[in-house]
Amino acid sequence: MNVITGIDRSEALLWTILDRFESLAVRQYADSARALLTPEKAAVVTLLRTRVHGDDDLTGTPLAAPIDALTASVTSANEARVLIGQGLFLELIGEAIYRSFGENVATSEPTRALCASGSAASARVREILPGLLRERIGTGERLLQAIMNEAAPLLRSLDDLGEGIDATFLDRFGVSFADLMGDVAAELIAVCIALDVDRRKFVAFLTSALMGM
Amino acid sequence: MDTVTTLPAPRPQIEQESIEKLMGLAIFGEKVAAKIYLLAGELRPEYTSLLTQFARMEANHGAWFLEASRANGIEPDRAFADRELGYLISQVDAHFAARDFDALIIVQGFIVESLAIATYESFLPIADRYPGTARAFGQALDEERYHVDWVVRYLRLRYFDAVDDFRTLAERVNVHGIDCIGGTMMNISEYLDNVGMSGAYCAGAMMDGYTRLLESVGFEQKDATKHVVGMFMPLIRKYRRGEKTK
Ligand SMILES: [Fe+2]
Ligand SMILES: [Fe+2]
Repeated sequence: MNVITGIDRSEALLWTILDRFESLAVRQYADSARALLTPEKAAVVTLLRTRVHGDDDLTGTPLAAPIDALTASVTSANEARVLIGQGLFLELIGEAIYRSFGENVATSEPTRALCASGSAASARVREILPGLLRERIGTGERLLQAIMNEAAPLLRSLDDLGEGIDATFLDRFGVSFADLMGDVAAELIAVCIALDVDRRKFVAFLTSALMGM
Repeated sequence: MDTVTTLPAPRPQIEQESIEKLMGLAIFGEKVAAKIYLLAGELRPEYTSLLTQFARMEANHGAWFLEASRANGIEPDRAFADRELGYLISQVDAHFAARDFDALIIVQGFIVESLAIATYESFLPIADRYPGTARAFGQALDEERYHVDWVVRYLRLRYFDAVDDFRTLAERVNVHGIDCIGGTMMNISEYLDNVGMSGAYCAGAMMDGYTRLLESVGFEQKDATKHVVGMFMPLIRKYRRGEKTK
């Protein structure tokens, strides 16, 4: 058994999921978006590695397959997929998770410290990313088209994840997938508006993709 | 020329059944809208006359839609509409019994009008397939926007220095209001697709429209989005599983 020391099973699972997100982020940023490879990102990965050694706490849980599908949906050598799938969407999902568990009375001290570090790293990406999107992809309609292409696989993969998140974290921490997605959508829309993406069209795309269209 | 040969080809059955459900919902939904404005007007003498006028406008919309349906060989599906609207009517009756004017105003002026506006707007580009409907829906759409403008003004004045109270009220009313009307949006999505509209686009337009209304009365943008998406997510998940929400 590989229960991470000092935290309970469900928190160990949370650490493992976040380790999957952050390890993938540093690999992909190193290959395709070095500007996002910040000291804050390195720090959260180092912190995760003090407790997470492999996937044991995730394997066999209802979240294993959805997390595999989610990470696979953004794994790519294509710069636009990395910037949009990983840098925008998955970072915001991570940030929503850090926020929900970091502000949670039910989480342990080590997990709250992890959330503080992870939030800082995601916030840094959120500062740098708009400039990169503007420079590498563009703004407005151009960016919207790229988002529609690059984020659709990720959004389609979220359905099973929702089930798993609610089954695993709702009773114990009061964290629901619906609330997380509300948080993610709010941040996404703010980023998109700042980059001149038509809000109505973006919300319609998000809704369609979540509805499985 | 024999007039029979000039009649348009019959619609495919799937389109016929879908447009009958959608028109049924629009026609009987307008009747419920009229009822809600009338009930709200009963609770506040200072608004009785205005809200009675609004109710009359909603009743007219229903009458225009019925006339346009008849002209196009569309028999509004009343059973479907009743199933969708029953949950709404029971909420409205509860708000009226509690003499909760503001709750009635949010249910009708924000939630029901958001569904109407999102779907009527999206219907207009395909309305020429059903002669006479463009005019009816175009005018109804203008009037729904007028109703919403009044509701926004009323709520802004009423909650001018009490935005937190508005939040509490909106969150309370939305629990059932969005579950009900957002649920209807999901339930009609495939019928909208079947008549050449996009159910998902309409749902997105309704969510965005409703979010903007909350913002206009004092919700922060992110806060409003978070709230509305959080309410719609369970409905979207039901939709993906092929479950009806009522
Ligand atoms: Fe109306
Ligand atoms: Fe109206």
